[in-house]
Amino acid sequence: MMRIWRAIAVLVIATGTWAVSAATPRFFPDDPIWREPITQDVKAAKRYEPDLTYQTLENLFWRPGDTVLGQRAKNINTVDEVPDGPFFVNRAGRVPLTPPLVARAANTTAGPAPGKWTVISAKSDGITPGFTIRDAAGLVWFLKFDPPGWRGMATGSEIVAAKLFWAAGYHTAEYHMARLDPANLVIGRDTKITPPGKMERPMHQGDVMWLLSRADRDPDGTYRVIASKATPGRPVGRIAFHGTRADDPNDIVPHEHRRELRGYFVFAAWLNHVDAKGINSLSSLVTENGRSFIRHYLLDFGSALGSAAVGPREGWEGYEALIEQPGDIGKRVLALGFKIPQWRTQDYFESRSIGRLPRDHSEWNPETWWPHITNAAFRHMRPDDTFWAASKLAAITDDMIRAAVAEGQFADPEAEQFLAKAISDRRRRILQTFLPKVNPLMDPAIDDQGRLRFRNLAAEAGMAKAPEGYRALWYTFDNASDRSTLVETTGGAESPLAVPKLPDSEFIKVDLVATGGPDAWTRPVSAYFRRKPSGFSLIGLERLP
Amino acid sequence: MLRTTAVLVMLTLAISAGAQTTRVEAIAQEQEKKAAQLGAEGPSEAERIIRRVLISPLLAGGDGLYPWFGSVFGGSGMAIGAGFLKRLPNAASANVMAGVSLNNSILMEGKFSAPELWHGMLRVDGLARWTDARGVSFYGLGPGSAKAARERYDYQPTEFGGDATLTPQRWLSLSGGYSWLDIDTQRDFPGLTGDLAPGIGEALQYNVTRGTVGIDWRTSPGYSTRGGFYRATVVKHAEKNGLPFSFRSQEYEVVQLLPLVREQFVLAFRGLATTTHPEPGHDVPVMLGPFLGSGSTLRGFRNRRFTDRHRLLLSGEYRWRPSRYLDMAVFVDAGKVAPETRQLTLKELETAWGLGARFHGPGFTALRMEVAKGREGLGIIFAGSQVF
Repeated sequence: MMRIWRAIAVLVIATGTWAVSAATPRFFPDDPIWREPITQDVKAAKRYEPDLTYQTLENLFWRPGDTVLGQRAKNINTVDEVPDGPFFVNRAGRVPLTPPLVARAANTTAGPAPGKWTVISAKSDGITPGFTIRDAAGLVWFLKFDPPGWRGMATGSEIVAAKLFWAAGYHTAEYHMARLDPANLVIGRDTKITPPGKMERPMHQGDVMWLLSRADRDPDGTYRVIASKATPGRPVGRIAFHGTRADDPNDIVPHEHRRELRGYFVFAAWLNHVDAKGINSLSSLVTENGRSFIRHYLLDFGSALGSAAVGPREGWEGYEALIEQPGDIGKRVLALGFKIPQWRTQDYFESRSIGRLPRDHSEWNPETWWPHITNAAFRHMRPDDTFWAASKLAAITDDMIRAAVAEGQFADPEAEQFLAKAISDRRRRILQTFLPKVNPLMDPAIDDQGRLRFRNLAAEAGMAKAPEGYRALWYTFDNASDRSTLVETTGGAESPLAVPKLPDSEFIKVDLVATGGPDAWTRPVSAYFRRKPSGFSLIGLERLP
Repeated sequence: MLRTTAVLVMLTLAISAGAQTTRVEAIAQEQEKKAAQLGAEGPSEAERIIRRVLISPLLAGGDGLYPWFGSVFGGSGMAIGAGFLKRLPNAASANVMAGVSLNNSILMEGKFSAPELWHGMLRVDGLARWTDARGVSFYGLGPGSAKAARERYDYQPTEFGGDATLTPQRWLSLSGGYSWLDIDTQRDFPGLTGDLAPGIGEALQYNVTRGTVGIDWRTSPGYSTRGGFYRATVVKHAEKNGLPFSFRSQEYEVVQLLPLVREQFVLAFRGLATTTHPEPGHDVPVMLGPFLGSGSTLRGFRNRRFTDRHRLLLSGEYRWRPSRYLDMAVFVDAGKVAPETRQLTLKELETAWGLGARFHGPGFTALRMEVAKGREGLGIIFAGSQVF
């Protein structure tokens, strides 16, 4: 009996120890994960369309979301990356992209099937007209137009932005440039319309003509349209940039702490997507491999680049928020107008095909870019988030940008060339700004010759001078207690660095710093390796601003 | 012993089943926990309130009851009230409202807009309005009236009328209208006699006919930073009861806005001239005659400070734009009233200057706050519309 009690005591102690250590290890055996686990079926998601005015007021005045700024993103894996998931899929920098792939982006079809297109609803309340149609093959498409006199501007800008957001890693709809012949439009039997200031009633041919009168028409009587395919699944709302969806059990990280939503700022700044707000997204309940979950798409890029959808981009857009900063207003009041914002005096490139953009982006500062509304995720953005986004952009080449711009079919070579250059220049400025802001060392690996290899992304991209040298501080690391013990320091002028003789520990930690470079580069990037029979594999990376 | 150990091992596994061995399990556990506490996605209480406010007719242009803020009559102070709007097919609408001002002046009004005709080019509106304006100021006729001579009278016009407006081009409008107008005035002070204050104390009834030609290439009448507005209006007031107060009037207005440095600055100018011409042996009642002195004419002087047969007003503003929703302005007004048109010269103009702030949207002015200084003192102006 005594032995039994002893056995019980041993087992209880053992169990307790395991349970504690198992509950708190820094790294699990499956780290780093590259796919966000979706383990629960979404069963009861109801559609909720947030009110645009409320969202605007909320973000302007009430600053929703976590009040503690400066927190590290919470949905990243242990190597500081965003796993593939409902908001984001790693593409640029993770999979080999090519210009044709970027040009194709999310497309899986050739566009709306020719033949009769049945109008099933119309967008009459907004400032831009639009139709929802069912094509001859039964697929549902949303059609949008250019404003009169601005052929290519809204449609082309939207398609370019959609391709590049896809390349960056966001879920986007399928977009095609198409041609609408009014003779092929048929009004659905139950289609209704609510004209502005009027009551809902059945739609008739006059409504179609009225809507088309607000769109740019080609000389042959047809219309250039952008056709975006209805996303799979059932719409259940829009992306919220703070909190989690109450009805989505898989959604456990507050959105302001999702890195891809924080980093969305950088991509939006790149493409001057000033309308980067929740209403220009779609959350859809989809079922794949027997699992129902919510996927989030970015949509509606008509107010990107030089387009403001109904006309060319206003000068202030991208330079100021919808409501300017009170301090700036006060100074301008007192200065009798002679404190003139930069956007009022700078030179613009203006064209009917692409709209209006600053002519020179070589000095553009992405840190002072403003969307119309700053959301909670943008407010929580940290330098490691902007570095992450910039590292994605570093993998998008000028050729890919040109391929995306060509998809805009602007039919204006000079404007098209300018637009591609503007996007490339803005990309360069983002890399110049955000890559050197933190220690830019990436992809540390211990090779089979026992050397530590790594990349300096800022120097590699030509955005900063290489530092004088690098130093590596080697530690043994206890995964259970999260403690590290310094073993040795090595250094060198460039990668690779020598690996010292290390104790026979399962986990190794290396703090990597650059010497003789910017101050920010002296803050270490911590890399964690697990010793395996085949060698060391990277299981953790921390880049703290 | 073996069986006991096996049971203990099972027990151990059971105890430790709550811990995770992989990252995926750890996340799955969190998701499982949330799955047990799911809620419904929907608007917060604050959002519900905003939605309710937004669907009010005032903001949404829909049907129903709405609050009203404005002015009953120039000089009667801020007024509040309520209205009811009913939208009808083809852009037609019916709207009734009532409001009361700080000095107890009352306004009741009903408007009917007929369905659009000719693709919106022709608009027909009907109006019924009753006003009880209290304590309307009168300083005597002529440019030399004294500030101390102010008398007050009450003024109760009732009007039924209609207007048709043709807009063949966005920038061109031609309008004509008719009103039946009944005026009842009561003087508070016996010092106001018919000679000094024509029309006061009379019960007047008019057939009013009017016509206007306007060219407006501003971006919006409510707020603009560029363009111009040019208007000529003729009005005939024919007294129906045989009283000697029939007259014609003409009014000419020119507004020019000159934007500078991509509209960082706007130089704004306005000229306004009004003339009245009574029929032989008739006079122009003071409550319908031209005047200067208000929040939009000769700021810095009291309401209706100068009244006579004719008036001339010139305004210039230097506007700067600290925000896209706030314009600041330094302004100068100069004007005069005169008994004869030939006396409408640029000599001996009354002047005022001041500083203003205007909160506005892309096409409307929500609030105009101004401080103006004339020779008779300071004036503070709050208005819900652009001055010009």
